[in-house]
Order: sequence, then C-alpha cells, then structure tokens
Amino acid sequence: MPQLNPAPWFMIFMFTWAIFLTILPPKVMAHTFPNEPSPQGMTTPKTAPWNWPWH
Amino acid sequence: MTLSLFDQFSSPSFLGIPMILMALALPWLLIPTPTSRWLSNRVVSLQGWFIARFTNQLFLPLNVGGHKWAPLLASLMMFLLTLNMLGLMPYIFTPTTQLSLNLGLAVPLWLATVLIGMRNQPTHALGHFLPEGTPTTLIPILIIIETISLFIRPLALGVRLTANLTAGHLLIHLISSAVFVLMPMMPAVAILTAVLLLLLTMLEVAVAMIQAYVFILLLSLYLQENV
Repeated sequence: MPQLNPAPWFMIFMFTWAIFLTILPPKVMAHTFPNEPSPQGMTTPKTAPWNWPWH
Repeated sequence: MTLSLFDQFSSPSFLGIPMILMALALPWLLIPTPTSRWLSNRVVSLQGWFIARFTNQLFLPLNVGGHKWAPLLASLMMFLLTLNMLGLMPYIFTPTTQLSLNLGLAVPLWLATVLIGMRNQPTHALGHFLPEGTPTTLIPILIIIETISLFIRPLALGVRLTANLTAGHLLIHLISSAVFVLMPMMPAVAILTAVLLLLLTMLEVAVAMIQAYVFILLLSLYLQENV
C-alpha cells in the first residue's frame, strides 16, 4: 500500500496543519449571524387566521 | 495486477513537486469567504447556516469549557468534508486516503483532549479507566483493557477514515474497470455492473460525509470526557 511509505509523511503532516490552521479558521469565522441566541419565551404567539380570498 | 489498483493512492509527484500540496491548498477556492456585506449570496448563506447548525448540534452535550474548541472542530469538519467529497470526482486525488494525514490530525487532537483532562481534572480523567459497578475481581483486567482502548483511539480514528475512503475508491476503480472490460464482450452484464457502480457511487457520497462527521463526533466525545 503506497500510503504506508513513510517518505512523505512529515511533509504531509506539516502541510496539512499549515493549511488547517491558516486558511480554514478565517473562512469559518468570517460567517457572522445577525441574531443573538435568545431563550425561548413562555408563551407562543397566537396568530389569528385570516380569510383573504385568494383570487 | 493488484499492485496497480493501489497506485491511485501513491502520493503524486510532478517534476519533483509533491502534488498533494495542490490537493490540499486548492479546494478552499470552492469555499468563498463571506465579506462584510449585510446580505450575502446563496452559497455563503447556505454554508453559514450549515456551519452554525452543525456546531450548535455538536456542542450541545459539551460543558462550557469545551466550547472553545468550536472553531477548531468546525474548521476540521469543513476540511474533511470538502476533501472527501471532492475526491469522489474522477481524476481528483483524495488526500484523506493518506494515513499520514489522518493520523497527523487524529493523534495531536486526541492527545490534546487527554492532556487537557489530565491537567485540569486528573482524578476525573483517570476515573475513566474503571467504569462504575465493576466486580472487584475484574478490576485489574479492566484497567488494562481501558488503558489499551484509550491508546488505540487515535489509531482507530486515523485508520477508520483512511480505510473507509481507500476501500471506497478501490471498489469504484475495480467496478468501473469491470464495466469497461465487459462492454465489448457482454454488454448486458456491463450495464448491470454500471448500475451497481451508480449505487456504489451514491454510497460513497454518503460514506464521505458520514466518515468526516464520525471523526469530528468522536473527537467531541473524547473532549466531553475530559473537559
């Protein structure tokens, strides 16, 4: 199995961590979300049904 | 004959430059970085939704002390998911078939969880070596078994991902060679084999996603024990 050849192992290890630590977290952390997490309210709002005629 | 089937996994090299550097550096062009725009496009919105929901679900069972691992595990999920899924396309090298990469990710992260546990709450961390309610006679053997199972975790983590992806790619290669060879001789059998190949490819898509998820999930479980 060529994966068991240890020659490129260190290079692959270093490069993986280099990519994983430098490129990915900025991409992931750049996502921003508009709402703060809020606890669920005790009462669920009641929506009144409406009877608009759909033409 | 069998050796040539495994040749697809040898770390490719062109003019002395290892191509795995390309395979590791280029996929992130497909994941756009969100800008500071108020409204982003569909791709960025979907990615953000996925990352947020996934991280939320993953960290529900963890104590607050473990939540600082959220960026790391979210990045790792994107990393593994992208590499696994891209590798399913023809002629694209899957870096996660390399044992070096998977062990290189698994061992340091597992070791980090163990060291965090040993440093912050050593009694609690060592308590995992003896489950509650063990009969007294079994205590020595069970401590040995638990120690072995602790040390086998990083190996299992790395080898699981490697083996699953390698086996999948190998099967795809085998069955597609069979279709190709059978086409002139027995077209009906070739068509049936092609249907099998289609089903296998769908399975491999699922496996790619599931194996990435399992890697992260197990790391979060190891963290849960120790944080």
